[in-house]
Amino acid sequence: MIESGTRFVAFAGSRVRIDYRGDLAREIVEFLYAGIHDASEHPLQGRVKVEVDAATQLIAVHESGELYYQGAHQADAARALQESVSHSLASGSVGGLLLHSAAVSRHGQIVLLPGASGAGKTTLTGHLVSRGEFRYVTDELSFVTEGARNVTGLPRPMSVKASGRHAVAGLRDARDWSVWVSPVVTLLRPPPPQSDVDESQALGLVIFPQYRSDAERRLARLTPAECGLRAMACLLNARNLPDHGFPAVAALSRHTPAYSLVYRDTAWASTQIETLTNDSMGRH
Amino acid sequence: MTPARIPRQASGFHLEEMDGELLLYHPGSTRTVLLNETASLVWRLCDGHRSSSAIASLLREAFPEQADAIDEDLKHTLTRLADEGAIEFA
Repeated sequence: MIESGTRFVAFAGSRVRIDYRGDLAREIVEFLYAGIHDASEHPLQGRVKVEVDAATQLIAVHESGELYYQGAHQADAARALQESVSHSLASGSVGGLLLHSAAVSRHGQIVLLPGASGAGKTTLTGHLVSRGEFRYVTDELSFVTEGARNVTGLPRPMSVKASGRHAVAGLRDARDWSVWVSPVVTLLRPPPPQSDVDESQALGLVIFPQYRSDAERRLARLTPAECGLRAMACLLNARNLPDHGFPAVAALSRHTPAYSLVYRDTAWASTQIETLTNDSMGRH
Repeated sequence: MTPARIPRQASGFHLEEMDGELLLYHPGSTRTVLLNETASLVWRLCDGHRSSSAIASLLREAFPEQADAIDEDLKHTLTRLADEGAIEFA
């Protein structure tokens, strides 16, 4: 008998239903979302289905009835499911600012790392966590609650592209992290509790990373307006918010120290962030 | 830029002032525009009544030590504001 079931993923005022069919499909869903609690009061925004063809063993991910991914590798299918669920969550998110942003925590405060795909958020996050000074929160979606003071992150395994694998070697070798690898992606799931996300934490710093192999490394303090400009570009649920979230982004930018960080080696970038958190969070 | 042209602030922008800089956001186009202190001052003077040359005169009076550079700086700033959609010319 083929196993089937349903799991709900709730985050940032939004909720997605995941139906799975097949043992491997269930394993993928559990690997990604076992640490997320349902919140039935949030409106359902999307429906995603994962199934494994018994004859071919191909894994298919469907989003709202449309085929989103089909392939043979469970890590690639898991990444596709992550993308699909994140997209659906973002489309219905309300009640705060949903930023395309990684996040780590240190001394009980959050460091946001917002940026577009390719900015190096996940690679930098992985390296920071592997050094032991920071705790993993999320590598993709951060939700800043109303008032712009507290942050929760979408708890999910870190999704590292092949080009960033070197930066997370320490985590891959750590016994308490679960690792799935394909030629395309490495997924790293922290030990339970999967992250700090169940508890909202105070926002301490915003750092906009930009990986550039051909540029001079540079750390620069941003003015509040410069922070606001960049944060608006990372805001995923603007259309669901009053005034497109602009006043809330402005409040966040006024309250929070912000920096831009152009880097080409993760060790240097991680050291800069450690120094900044030492200074701004009052620990030396 | 023609000195006689009259710039005015484009409508529909939401405005947040932060430490002397301005952040403008237009919900229709989802465009966000950052104006530094100089650009903010120029943008505020674009009231739909003053011509470019009148704005230049005001700035020369306010900043006589920079009078020689004001025409060129103003031209550059108005061009940028127009390119960003923050002002229109009557």
